[in-house]
Amino acid sequence: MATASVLAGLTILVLGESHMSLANHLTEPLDANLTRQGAIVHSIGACGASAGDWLITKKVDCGAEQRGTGKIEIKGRDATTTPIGQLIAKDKPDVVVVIIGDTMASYDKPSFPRAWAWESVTSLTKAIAATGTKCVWVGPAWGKAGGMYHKNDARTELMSDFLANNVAPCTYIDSLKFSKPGQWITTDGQHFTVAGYKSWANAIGDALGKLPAADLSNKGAAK
Amino acid sequence: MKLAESLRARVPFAALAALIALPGLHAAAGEIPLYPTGPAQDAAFVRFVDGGSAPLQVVAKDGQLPLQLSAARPVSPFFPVGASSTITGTLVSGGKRLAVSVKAQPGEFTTVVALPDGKGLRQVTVHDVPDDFNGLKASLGFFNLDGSCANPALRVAGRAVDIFKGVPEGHLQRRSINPVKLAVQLACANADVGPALDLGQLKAGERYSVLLLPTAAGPRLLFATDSVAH
Repeated sequence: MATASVLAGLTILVLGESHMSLANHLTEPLDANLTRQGAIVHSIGACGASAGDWLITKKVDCGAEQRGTGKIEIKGRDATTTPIGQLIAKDKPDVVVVIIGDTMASYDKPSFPRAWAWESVTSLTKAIAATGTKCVWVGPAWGKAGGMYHKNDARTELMSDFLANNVAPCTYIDSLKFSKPGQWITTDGQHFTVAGYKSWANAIGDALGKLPAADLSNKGAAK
Repeated sequence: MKLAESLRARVPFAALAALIALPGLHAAAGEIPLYPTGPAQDAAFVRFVDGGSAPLQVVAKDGQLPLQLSAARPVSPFFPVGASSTITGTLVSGGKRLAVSVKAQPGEFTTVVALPDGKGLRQVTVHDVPDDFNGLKASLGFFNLDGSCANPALRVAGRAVDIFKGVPEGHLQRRSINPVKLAVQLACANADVGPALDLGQLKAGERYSVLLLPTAAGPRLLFATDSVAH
């Protein structure tokens, strides 16, 4: 007899960057996975958005939105971020899943912008925590060295380590454990093929499904 | 660059936020858009501290609303500023004025302390480039702004355990500590000075500062939770 997923019945708001802003990227397979586990999912992607951009309304070059397994809505240059407080007030999610990392790593720059990243990340985690909503942060996955974004293994690992140490009280999911460097095929060093995105989505879904219920919802906390 | 140039209306000196260097990467390669992957230069931040007994105004430009600091609120938040840009303004306290100039390098959290100096004021600027960001720990910094305290040390109150020692005047030391309930004791020349200071329950992920300031009655400690203006 199958055991019900810990995600069953939970409302999940997923926020992401370019990986979630186009068709045949991460959004569709991830929403499908979470929906199969019984979650009610609302996913929003905004190209190039860093963590702090979700505190404001910021115009971005592209974006996408999907509810459950409904049709993904692709947005053009009218895409924006939406302040996290507004999103949480409207959706009232049990948990916010943030999938941000590649937009903050400065892969093509000599130095990692540590102070900027700290301010950006903690601004978002504090804003989520202030609402009492649970939060899970999914870090960047291995790409392929080179490409137009100059993604590289060393900076990817640094970004992941930084997030692991700074997203509390959010729970961190380390995507680097899901694959080996270069294992998931990319189109440009950073964005994956359909197969790659499906692998990442399923790995994220599995990891979420293995988290303790207390990390995913306040339901039952008062019992 | 005048402080006023970056002044936003809703919060005095939040204007400095406008100077933050956040150049996204919007270049295009053919028809394929390149999405921002982070700034070319790290952020920089500046805050102001009223190190005297009289209220302090930090004036960006005459006629504009100044930043007000006093005993009730002696430490401002950190304001994002343009890294490597020189910020200028005026410190005003007790009828005394001092032109202020400060430059924060990328990744730097700069603290400008206004201190009484005879019949005037003086500016002491302390540069902090932290690398201890950690959401599971508390970060505590100890700023020495009092040259009269020899070999200053900050100890765990009631215990002979130094948290910081030997901090030169005009500098700071910073370290990560467990988020515990903590009270500290100042020692000058290895002798306790003044009462213990209760820092309360420190929180994981928060950053704190203890500033050693001079007064006519001897050294005193000022405790602040570091915050960033948005």
